[in-house]
Amino acid sequence: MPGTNIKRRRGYYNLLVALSLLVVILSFSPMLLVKNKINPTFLNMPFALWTNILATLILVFFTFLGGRLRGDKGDFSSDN
Amino acid sequence: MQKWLLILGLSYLGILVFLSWYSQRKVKSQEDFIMAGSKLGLILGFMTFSATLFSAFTLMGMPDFSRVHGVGAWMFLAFSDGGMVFLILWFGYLLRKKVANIEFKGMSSLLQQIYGIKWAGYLYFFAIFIFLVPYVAIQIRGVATFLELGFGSLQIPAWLWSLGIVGFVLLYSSAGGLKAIVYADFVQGTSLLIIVWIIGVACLQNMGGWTEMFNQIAVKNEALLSIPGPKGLLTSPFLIGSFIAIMMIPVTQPQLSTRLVIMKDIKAMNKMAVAVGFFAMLVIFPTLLIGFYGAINYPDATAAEFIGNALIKDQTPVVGALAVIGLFAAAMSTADSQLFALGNELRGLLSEKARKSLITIRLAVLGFAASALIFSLFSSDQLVLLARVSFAGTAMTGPLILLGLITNKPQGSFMVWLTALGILTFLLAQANILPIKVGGLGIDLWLFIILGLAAFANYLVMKTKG
Repeated sequence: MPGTNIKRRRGYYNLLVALSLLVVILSFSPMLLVKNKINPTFLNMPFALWTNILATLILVFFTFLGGRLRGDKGDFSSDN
Repeated sequence: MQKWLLILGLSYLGILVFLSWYSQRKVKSQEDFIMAGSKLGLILGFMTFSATLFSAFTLMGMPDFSRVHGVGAWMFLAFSDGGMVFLILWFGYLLRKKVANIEFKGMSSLLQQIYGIKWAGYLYFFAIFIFLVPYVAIQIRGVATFLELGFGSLQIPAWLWSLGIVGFVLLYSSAGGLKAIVYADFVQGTSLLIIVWIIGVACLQNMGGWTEMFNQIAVKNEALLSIPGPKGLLTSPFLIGSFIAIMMIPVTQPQLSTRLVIMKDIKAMNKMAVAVGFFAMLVIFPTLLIGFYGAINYPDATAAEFIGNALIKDQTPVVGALAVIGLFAAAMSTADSQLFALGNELRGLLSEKARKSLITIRLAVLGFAASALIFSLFSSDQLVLLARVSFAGTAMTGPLILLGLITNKPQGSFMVWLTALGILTFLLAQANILPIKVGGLGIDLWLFIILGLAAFANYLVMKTKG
């Protein structure tokens, strides 16, 4: 059922877009973007650095997943 | 060091000359010259995109930016690049779909076709000219000033260094076209990545290692370890404005949107986006190390003094020579693509007859190079902040472009004129005629919000009408 497959892929992709937006919003929210906050550290990195490196890694990983979901033609139609 | 510089510099220039000659041989048509044959695979595609994106701004600007503003520099650039590569999946698909059945003659020409209004193309061209030429200029200026200071004994003034950089860019880009630029980008991107890591690791060792680096920064200036940084620049509005401006670069800057079009297929383009995301992290991380090294050892130096010491004087002769080559490479890899893209955009606006001759694009590139060269004599050395103005300025055209791409229905002229007003407002704010901040938010962020909402409203209205 190619139609169902496309619908499913599109649904997952939309979920991925929503999650990416969530990562961006959280990164700019007072929860993560806290003035003068250094702790907790991770591998000696201050809070603002390691949380942002993590957020960037997540966005790049989402880009990888998004590319897979969109398929070879970008329109969710082809299998990888 | 001069011995190493001579050996490495001549080798580097020799490689560029060879690549230029090699690509000139391969150019069989206008399409080859202007669009590099439009069949770029993953490796060449991601290297040319990355080298065009990361420039002298990265190798000179980012270390200084993190030296002065601390760890928030990562969020300013790397996180924004993360958003940018995610956007490429969607935007690249839209753009390629739009131009699948027509000849892509640049974004200016495409906007004219989509909106059916000549002024849509002229406006886009005006925006990229007014914001990209200074961007090219500040990079040339940055590297030239650095070379003048670093090689004072040679008594070569900055303008002559600038002329040398521009001259070489013109030589290989006008000989081999976009293909030569793409090959050169491959060499330049690779050089940039290797050199920035060599210097970053050397700086890290000099600071006594990873843990000791953070300990020393905490002692020197603890504010560097958090946002908004010691000068209070990296606030939420500034970072959000930067995020939008940087994320929009592939949408609004022709040298990058062209690279999405010339990828072999969507599959290669999507993989390229992921690779660019990793490249961004890999290239930005060591610039932070260099910046932290500067924060510890040269907290009060000028940008040029710090870069001169950190990249050259404190390094071994061979690394210092590599740094100089890296700076040349970084400045050239962005300047060549931007000048060529400007030439191509102008060509797209010309008549069919004028468009058929490659002399047009060569003359246009020469003209833009001369403009950048003149501007470089007067620009300041605040690389990152001037680059941000350039990104934000071109980003004003983002909603106009996206609106045109997401629908096949005519969208009227409202957004064209509103974008013109937005660009004018932004320029007046930069000239301090209008306030740069309104209600605590930067004028750029206000304009992004207004133009974005207006484009969405325009879309809904036209959808209802249709």
